[in-house]
Amino acid sequence: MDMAMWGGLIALFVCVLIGIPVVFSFAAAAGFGLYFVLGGFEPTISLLERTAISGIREYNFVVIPLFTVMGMLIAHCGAATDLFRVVNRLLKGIPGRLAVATVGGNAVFAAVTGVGVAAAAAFSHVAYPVMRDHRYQPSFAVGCIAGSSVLGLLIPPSVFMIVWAILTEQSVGILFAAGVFPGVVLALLYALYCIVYAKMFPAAAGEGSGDQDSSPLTRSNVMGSLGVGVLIVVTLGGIWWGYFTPTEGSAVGLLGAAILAVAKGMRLRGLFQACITAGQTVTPIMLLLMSAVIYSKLMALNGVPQEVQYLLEEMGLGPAGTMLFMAIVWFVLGALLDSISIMLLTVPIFWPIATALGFDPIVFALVGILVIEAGVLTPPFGIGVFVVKAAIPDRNIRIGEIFKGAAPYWVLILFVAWLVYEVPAVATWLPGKVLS
Amino acid sequence: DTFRLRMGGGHTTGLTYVKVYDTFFADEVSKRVAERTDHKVRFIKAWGGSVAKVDGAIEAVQNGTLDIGLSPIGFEQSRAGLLNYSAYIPFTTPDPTVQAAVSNRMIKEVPALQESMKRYNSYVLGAMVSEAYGTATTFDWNTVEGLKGKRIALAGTNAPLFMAVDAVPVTLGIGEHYQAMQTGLADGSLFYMSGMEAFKLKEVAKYFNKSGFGSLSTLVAFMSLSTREKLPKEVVAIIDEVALEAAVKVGELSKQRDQDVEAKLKSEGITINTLPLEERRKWAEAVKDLPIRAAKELDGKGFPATEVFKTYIRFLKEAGYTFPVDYQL
Amino acid sequence: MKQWIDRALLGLHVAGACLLIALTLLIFYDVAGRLFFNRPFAGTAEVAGVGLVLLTYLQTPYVIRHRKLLRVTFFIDRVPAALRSQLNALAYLFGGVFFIGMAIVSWEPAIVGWASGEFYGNDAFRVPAWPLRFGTLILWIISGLVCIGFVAEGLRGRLTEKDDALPE
Ligand code: NA
Ligand code: NA
Repeated sequence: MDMAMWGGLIALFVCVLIGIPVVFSFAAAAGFGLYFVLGGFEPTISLLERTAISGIREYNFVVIPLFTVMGMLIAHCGAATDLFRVVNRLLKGIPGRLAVATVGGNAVFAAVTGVGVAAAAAFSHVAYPVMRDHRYQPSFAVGCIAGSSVLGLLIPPSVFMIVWAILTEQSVGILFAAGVFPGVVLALLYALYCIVYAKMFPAAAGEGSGDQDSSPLTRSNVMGSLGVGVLIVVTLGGIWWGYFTPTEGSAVGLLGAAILAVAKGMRLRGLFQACITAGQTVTPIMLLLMSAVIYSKLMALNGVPQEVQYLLEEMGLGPAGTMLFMAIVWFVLGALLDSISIMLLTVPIFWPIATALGFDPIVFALVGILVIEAGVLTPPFGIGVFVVKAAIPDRNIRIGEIFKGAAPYWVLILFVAWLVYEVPAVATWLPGKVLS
Repeated sequence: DTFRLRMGGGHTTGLTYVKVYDTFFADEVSKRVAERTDHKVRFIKAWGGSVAKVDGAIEAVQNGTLDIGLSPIGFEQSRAGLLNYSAYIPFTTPDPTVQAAVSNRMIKEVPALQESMKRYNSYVLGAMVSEAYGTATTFDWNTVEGLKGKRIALAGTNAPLFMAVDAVPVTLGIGEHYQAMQTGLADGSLFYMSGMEAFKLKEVAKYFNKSGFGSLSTLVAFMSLSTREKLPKEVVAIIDEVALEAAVKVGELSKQRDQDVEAKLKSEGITINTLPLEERRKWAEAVKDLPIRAAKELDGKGFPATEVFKTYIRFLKEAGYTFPVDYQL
Repeated sequence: MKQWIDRALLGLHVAGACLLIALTLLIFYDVAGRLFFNRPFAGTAEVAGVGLVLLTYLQTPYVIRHRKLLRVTFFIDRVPAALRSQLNALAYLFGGVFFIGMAIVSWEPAIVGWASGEFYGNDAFRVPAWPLRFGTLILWIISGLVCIGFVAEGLRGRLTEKDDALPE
């Protein structure tokens, strides 16, 4: 880490804090650092230009807009409201049940999405308006959405796990299986937190206004919910039974959502409007991903990964200390970069060290994934929170409120990471069962 | 002086050629430069797509982002068309050491290859070889007929090979082959036999067919021409010397890996078939237009492809390998 | 004039939405072809990748114009309005330099790519690179101009509203 690197890092912080859009801040800071690394403007801007294309030109990324539009269609046509009314009914008597239903919905949605951002974007439209209608405190409502979106990366399918498996030459199937149980545990902890919080602060959960909602379910509510159920079965089942890949599943799911929307009475104009709104949500996310990739290239070209590896070997911390050190690095980077970039930067360095220290590969993967995902919910730039901010239909919500609301969730994620480290069976039991 | 050289590529050190550059090449160059000259070389390594993806290494070298870029040129048909000669002529030798020797000879004796990359400010340090390609499947087969209607997961480049025998290509990155076969999205996977281990394909595919696609010289190390000009001559000479050794080493390690993995898989009860020569001939017959079409197109763009292809076939013959059919180039 | 620009930017945004619908149908066509006719479409991955880039930058000018880029507003919302306008000018100056800079360096590869028949993909399916090269070139210029327009407004003290306070 030389002067240019530190200078760039400080410049990045200053830019972001004074309100330069994050995309431009990343580009400027990376440009500044790269100018010294590459020794000139021409190669620097060429690298930015190539990354602006290659950072997005990735087939698997189409799930981001497609699952976003799908969520918007479900939200706009009223099917999401149907679902929540039905779930609300089923959970009658449970405090904060809309938040609990959001967690549950995310856990199910996680089974049809490979990326967390898609879940965050979808539920910002599906769950948030309903919670607001029931006078939930905004930070409680958005925190729940941001926190729950992590389930999408833990519960298979998960783009994140696929990349991890490739980097570490592990079985994708084993990692997928390993994620199921920690995902369920995390979802249960989330639900428990929502219930406890709503019990302690009834005002935050609309004074139980969901319970006062005694108007009977309409036929349309039930049909809409069934429609969502069918959609999940078609999308998830199609992926599970090998009719299509998760990426392809996002297109099938979107067409299914369009059919559902039309059945719910939405017309061409409404479908189109949903696409337009989705564009305003997705484009800032795509730009952010792209600029984070640029920044991660600066780090890689500066040899930061190698120096960290050297540093770690020098320090001789022992297994637990090394794990803790890695966790801290992941957690801190989570506040700066997107998950995939963090993984690309750190896993090739940490993996050989982890192997040498004799860590269980599954435990290592799960701890890494959990900690990185906890990190992306933390201030100042946790991308998980910015995604929710961009997607949320309520423009009055402040980024600070989302960070505040999401804080208990990353604490719970870190707890599950610790649990997996201490009790590996949480992660390793199911893979052993499935594949022996 | 200390020179910092940036080296990167889209693949990880899990693949032999990247591993050899990550360790042997970097270590030997640093060592020999320190011993024999007054200079020092330090490498910055950026594998796994952290700087350039599988189809981005040549551009990165061209623009000065990387000094040395490792490129699987099957993804670079647009820029490295001519260098892809071994991929355009199917059913080549399955022996990586033979392919490595021919590849080194091609780079040395066919100047058109080196020439074709000059426009990208790139110098071919070495065209390294892959392990032998084969087909992992969930079903038993050993005739071309047996592939009819079967879905095979592969990189897009190889789709024409399978379409010619009425198999159904499913274009997927290698990381997705496991799940594809587990769910039934694909019935098979085109990759090296070591993928059965590295990507755990053996858990879902109990058969591996040595189908004769052979070992290809499509893993190329490019070096920026500007960097070569900037560095002292003696340093460049050491880099070239070690690169040549690295290319030979990759051939040897790949052959060894093929043999080790085969023995291990057999001991674990995986069925390993070798597609009979007669079947390979049938298959080659079905795709014998591919090299002709590729050569014509490249000729049209001003590359001496037909000549290069013929030379390659001749070199292989001199090394003891004959193609199952006589491609009418 | 202003209304005309906004309409044009909305037009690009709509074109992006249409492209997204087209990509959805393309992927579905590929899946259906494989499942029902054993005839998948070989170019889905390449076309979708290229389409995704174009769609992102088709929608970028409109998104910038409507100030939907992600940013930390904690500080900028608390400074005096006049300073906020200047800071906004600075913010979009970064953007203007970024987009125009990329457009300038992309000119040469676009021309070379056009002349040499550059493509993405392989023998199974090729997507010519020029629509993407020239498309991004033009769209980056447009995005850059939108940013520069904001710089001009900001310097004249007219960018005083907070992002969140803007009408939809
Ligand atoms: Na998931
Ligand atoms: Na891929």
